[in-house]
Amino acid sequence: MADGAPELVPELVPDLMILGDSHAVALQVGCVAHGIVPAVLSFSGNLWHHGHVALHRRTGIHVRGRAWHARVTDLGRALGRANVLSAEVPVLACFGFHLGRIVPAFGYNGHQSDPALFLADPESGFASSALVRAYAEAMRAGQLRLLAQLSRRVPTLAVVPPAIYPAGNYPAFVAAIKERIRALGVPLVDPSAELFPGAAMLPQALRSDDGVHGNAAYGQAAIGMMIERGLIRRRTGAEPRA
Amino acid sequence: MANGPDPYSGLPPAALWRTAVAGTGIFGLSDLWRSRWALPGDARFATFGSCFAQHISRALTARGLTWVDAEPAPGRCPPDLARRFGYGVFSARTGNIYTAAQLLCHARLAAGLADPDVIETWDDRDRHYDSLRPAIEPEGFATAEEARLSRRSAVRAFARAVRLADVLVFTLGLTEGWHSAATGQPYAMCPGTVAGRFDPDRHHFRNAGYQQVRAALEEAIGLLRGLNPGLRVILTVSPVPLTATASGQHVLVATGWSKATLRAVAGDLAASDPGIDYFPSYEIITGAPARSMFFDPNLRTVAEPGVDLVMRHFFAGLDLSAPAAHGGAATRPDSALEAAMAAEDLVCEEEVLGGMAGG
Repeated sequence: MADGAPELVPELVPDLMILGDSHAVALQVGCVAHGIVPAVLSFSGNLWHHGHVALHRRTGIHVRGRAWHARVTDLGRALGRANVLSAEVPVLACFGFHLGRIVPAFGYNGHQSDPALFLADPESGFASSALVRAYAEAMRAGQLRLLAQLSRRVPTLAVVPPAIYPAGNYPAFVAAIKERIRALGVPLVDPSAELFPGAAMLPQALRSDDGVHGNAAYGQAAIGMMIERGLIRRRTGAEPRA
Repeated sequence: MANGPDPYSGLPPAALWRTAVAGTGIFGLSDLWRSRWALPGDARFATFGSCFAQHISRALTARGLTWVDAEPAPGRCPPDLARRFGYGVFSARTGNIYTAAQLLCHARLAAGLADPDVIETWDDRDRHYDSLRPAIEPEGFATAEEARLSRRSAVRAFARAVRLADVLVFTLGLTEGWHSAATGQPYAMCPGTVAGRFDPDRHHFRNAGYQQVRAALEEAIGLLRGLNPGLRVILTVSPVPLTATASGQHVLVATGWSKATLRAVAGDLAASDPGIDYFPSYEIITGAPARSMFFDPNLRTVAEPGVDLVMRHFFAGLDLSAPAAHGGAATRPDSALEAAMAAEDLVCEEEVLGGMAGG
């Protein structure tokens, strides 16, 4: 159990917590569809990117900015406890990637890690896998440290965002961050890769209209896969809604 | 026959050691160099060469002059990371170019006269190194293919730097070097030192003499002018002594020979080619007035005050009085990137809010 946490009242205990960025929404929908009760704390990738989210001894999570942190206190109130983290509630952590904040910047001067795309564009420059890895680690050091700390406090499963991005540097960054998360000893699941082995991209039918996120069907498939593989558990007696 | 004044009478103070050097001291030296060209006020400088050349790029940037960075680091790359991967050091990611033979190799590649893929890649267990730039990645490349692609990238960038530049500043470092016995390809370092494995049958030593250095430089500059006919070249000689010599001589003697050869070639090329100039960084640091005070305790590397003094003379002699030629910034504003990332933030924020409303 996390530091200073009182006993949880069973009926207030969610099956798991989803902590992350905007990709939390699809996972939340998926949980509900499978009869899993999630507590959700999601913040814009921008807040994660800028390191505005941190662990906190008393509240579990702290977010810079009163309005944002109100989400934490609201959740705590709903759970009947100050600390929103509990060793009894596993966390699906969908943060640490926030690719939209780093990959465009990485490629701004023409860096390309995909050999075919590099060779096809005479204005581009080749980016080695070591450079991608070093850049990703430098840009995501804080977020991944937070993830590692979180996993030491509560059972944590890192969830890779769905493969909905242009070809080129994105897959290299996903691979680099996944490698780093594994090196930190944090269990990780990549729903896109698990559901569609060998496919570069998530099928169109599972993408939301904004072109960035997975949709409800994706969330349902992802959570279903996690249940099937024993990565998360449905509350005893609960039935899937879908 | 009437006796006229001898050639030494009436010489300006700068021509006399007593008045120009002994009487002024190192910090009073003046008029050491005057650029032979009036360059445009927005002249673009590309810099390559041995490690001393790294200081020139920094000084140009610090002075607000246009330093051509034809292979910049990724956007928003932390400076220490960029430097570890060899970005921002020279105008392309060539690493140090110590010898005239190396410069010629880069020029041939840039001119399309040689295939970058025929340059040796050194494989060392699971790491791979570009024999032209063995230290360009801190831990080598993950695959030989990555090493080859990265070399192609540097070749593109080197050619781009030459095309974009008004002036190429090249710092000559060494006459000693190693090359492939089979192909003649020069190496940046002796195999087995930074990377690779030394094989005396395959890797041969050469201490290039005046004729070899001059011929290589002339050919290299000719090829670079093929890419950019208006290119001007400023040659300098690095004052940094040899770390070690393979010549069999004492390293102090070998350093003297090497530097004297490079200095002679640079001076002669500048004297014979109006498109080439020589800047005396070597003399400023190693000359008697400096009393070796600018060397670090290892008596090899040059301390910051020495670099500052060299660059002060460089900028004092630089003539940027010609009209601007390029009209506008050479770099793109960050605003497009910011706008794209802000749009993504908006999308993601809406998703979060939508999720809250729905949940």
